[in-house]
Amino acid sequence: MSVNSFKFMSRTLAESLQRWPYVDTSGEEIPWKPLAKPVADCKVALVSSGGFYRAVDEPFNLDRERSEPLWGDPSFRELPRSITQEEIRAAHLHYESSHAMRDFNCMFPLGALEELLAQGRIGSISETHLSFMGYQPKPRVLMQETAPRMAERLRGLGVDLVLLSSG
Amino acid sequence: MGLVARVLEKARLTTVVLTNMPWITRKIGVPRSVAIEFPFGMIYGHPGEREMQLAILGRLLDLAGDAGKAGTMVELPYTWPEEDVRKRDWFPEEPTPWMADQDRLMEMMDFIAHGNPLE
Repeated sequence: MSVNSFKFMSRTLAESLQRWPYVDTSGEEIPWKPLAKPVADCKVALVSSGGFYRAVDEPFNLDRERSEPLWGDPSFRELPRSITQEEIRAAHLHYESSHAMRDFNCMFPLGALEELLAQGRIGSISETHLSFMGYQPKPRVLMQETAPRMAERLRGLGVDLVLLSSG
Repeated sequence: MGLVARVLEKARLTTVVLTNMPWITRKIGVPRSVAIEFPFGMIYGHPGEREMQLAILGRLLDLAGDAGKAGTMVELPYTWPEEDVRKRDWFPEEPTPWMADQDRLMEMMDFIAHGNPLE
C-alpha cells in the first residue's frame, strides 16, 4: 500500500479516522456482481459523494450539520447527463468545492465519459447520475434507506456499471 | 462511499469505487476499487485536466471488466505535485463543524471512543 490515505488532512482528522467507529462489515461477505457483458456494451452512471446538486434543487442541509456536527444530510440528488457548469452546485463542509465549481469534471467527469463513449470504450451513458453528501458519521439512514433508493433508481435507468468517487 | 457501493452491488449493479482513502475503503470492504493519492475535491485531478480524467476513468473501466475477486484494489501511481501540496487548497475556509469549538470536539471524541455508528 503506497497511497497515503491521510496525506491531505489535519493530524486531528487523521488520528480520528484511524480510531473511528466504522460500521462493522466484517461479518458479511463483500457483495459481488460481475458484469454480464463487455464494458464496451455497458450503460454507465457516475455517483459522487461530493454533495452535488442542481441550482434549481434543494441543497444538502448544511445548517443542521453546523448545529449538530454528528449529523450529515443523508439524502441524494439527481444530476442530468447534460448538466452544465452554470447549473451545478456543491454543498459539503469537508472539502473545498471552488475547484469543482470551476470544472466539475475534476470530481464528476461527465465530459470525459462522453469522450469515452465517442471512442467506443463504453456502450452508453445514463441520462441521470447521482450524488450524496459523504460526511456521514452515523450512516444508518444512508445505508438502509438512501442507498437502496439509489440502487432502485439506477436499475430503473438501465445502468449496468456504476463508477463511484469520494469527495 | 464504500457502504453505498456495497448496497448497489448487492442490488445487482456492478460498481467500481475511486478512493483517496484506501485505508478506510479496505476496512469497509468494497467489490472493486482504485486508490489514488489526490486531495479532497480534486480526486480526478486538477480542474481542466481532461487527459487525467480520461486516464483515471479508463482504469476504473479496466477494473470493471477484469477484476475476478471481491475486494480487489488497484493503486494508481500518480502523485500530487509537491508545489501544489504546499498550497493546501483543498481545505475549506469554513471550519469543520465538529472541530469548531472545544465542546463539539469533545462530543466527537466521545462518539469516536464509545459511539454507535448505526444508532
